[in-house]
Amino acid sequence: MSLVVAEAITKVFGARRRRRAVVDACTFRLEPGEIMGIVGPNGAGKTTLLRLVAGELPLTTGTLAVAGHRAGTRRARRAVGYAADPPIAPPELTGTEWLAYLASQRARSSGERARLVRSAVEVGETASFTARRIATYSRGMAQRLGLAAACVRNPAVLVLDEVLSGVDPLVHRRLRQQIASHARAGVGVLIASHDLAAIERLATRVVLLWDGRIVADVRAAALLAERVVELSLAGSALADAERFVARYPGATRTGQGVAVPLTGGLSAEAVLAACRDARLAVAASRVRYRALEDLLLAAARERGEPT
Amino acid sequence: MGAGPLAFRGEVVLGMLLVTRHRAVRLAGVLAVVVVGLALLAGDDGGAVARRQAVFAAGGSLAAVAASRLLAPGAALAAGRQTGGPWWRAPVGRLTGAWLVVAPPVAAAAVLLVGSVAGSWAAGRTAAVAALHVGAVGALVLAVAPLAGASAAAAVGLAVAWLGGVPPSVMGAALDAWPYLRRPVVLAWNTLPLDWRAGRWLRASTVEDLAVLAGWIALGCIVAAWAAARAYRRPDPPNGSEP
Repeated sequence: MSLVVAEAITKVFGARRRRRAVVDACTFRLEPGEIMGIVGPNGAGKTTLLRLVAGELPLTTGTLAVAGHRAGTRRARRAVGYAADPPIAPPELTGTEWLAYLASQRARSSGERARLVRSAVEVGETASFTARRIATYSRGMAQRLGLAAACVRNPAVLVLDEVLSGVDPLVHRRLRQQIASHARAGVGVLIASHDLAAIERLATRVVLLWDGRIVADVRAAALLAERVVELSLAGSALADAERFVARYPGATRTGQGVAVPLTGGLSAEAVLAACRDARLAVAASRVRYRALEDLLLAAARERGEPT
Repeated sequence: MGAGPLAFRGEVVLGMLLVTRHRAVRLAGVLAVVVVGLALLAGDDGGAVARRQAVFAAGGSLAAVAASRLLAPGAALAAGRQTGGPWWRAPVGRLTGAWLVVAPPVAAAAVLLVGSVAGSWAAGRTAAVAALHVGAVGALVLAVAPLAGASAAAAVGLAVAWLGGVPPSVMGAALDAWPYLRRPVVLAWNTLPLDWRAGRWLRASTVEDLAVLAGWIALGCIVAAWAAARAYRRPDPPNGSEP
């Protein structure tokens, strides 16, 4: 059974002239054990989409079920662990008090509550600062507490908004491992981030949101299996780069030249041959795996956004 | 302890922590101590009635500021939603927590102030009524906070605590020149959990006064739960931030 089933969900803010669909007719499913990364530019609707799934906002239209229950209902909320950005926690409390409160809403005994808190402290790696007031936390500490708080009630679905931002690289790596281990245990994870490299490493599936719409929904493995040839063009050839990019679907400008995805049987040799035919002077070339950034840049180019 | 009682205790403890840790509540506590201290220093001037009014004003102020934190928009309100408990658990549990913090010192102040001029029986009765009054004012503020915000809710509670000693007949007479204003104000004065009603219950022990004060505790919790749900349905700003 899918953990999240979204059918044409729409969220509109404002009224009359200021009416604006922040999430627009999005349809997707999240399966157990799946980590769905949600990427997109600022204002794309990532946070709003997550808040809809978490039951923090009501839908305008569409249907959204979480663990078999309508989103926003008591049962659906109990199935979700939500880490908001910025994290929501009373600054007057200590991290331990906050986790103990959340655990008490799930536990059947004081012993189980203590166990849930210990487990959450491990997940968020908050042991070194959890006895301090939340008001004194740095951004990274608050994000880690947010992750711990999302996990403390053993939810079926984790909804994580920028939970990996602001943490140091070593903790970042261990938190990714913790999230992945939750997914291996059957938890469905929705994670939004601007950290494309982290999403590439973590997600099993990536959704690209743009103006509230899903413009790409790809398996991470399939995306990363694709290759891209990057060409650095000599100074005079840069002027013709735009024309060259237009010849290949998904091709984008880079700082020093162009990046062309090797899809549909296209080879790096064929691209280099096309450069020779077009009399473009190639200073250097390299073949690399396709990255999320290429997906994002291609989407931006299709919409005429500056890249 | 089962899951339900443990979850309820969690809300009670959260209520206590939200109240004891917030600086506004500590400031209100200082104000209440000053009021009680001034009433003590005034000696027997005004007798037990003036001292009771001081207790109700100080207790109501403290309860108003304390209860404004319990379901304030932000983490406190969101937590009640996210835990997915039954509708009554967060308001009732947190109000209980706040009451456990506020009622004992208010009752002690009542014993201290009234006991010396009216005897231990009157002091005990005043302490009991003050504890009930604190709960009723807290419930009123709790109901307002999710929709109006913590500051506005606290302001409503402070107005209730400080102006509530004026009886409805006096209020009505003062507003005789403004009949359109007089009617709703007198109606509010007769229905809200105000100090004059607590004082009248002490004097006359009417069931009506007890019912209004106790009824406000139940009504406040019900309205608070509704208001928390209403806050969820309210359109948020496009950036999705909490107000």
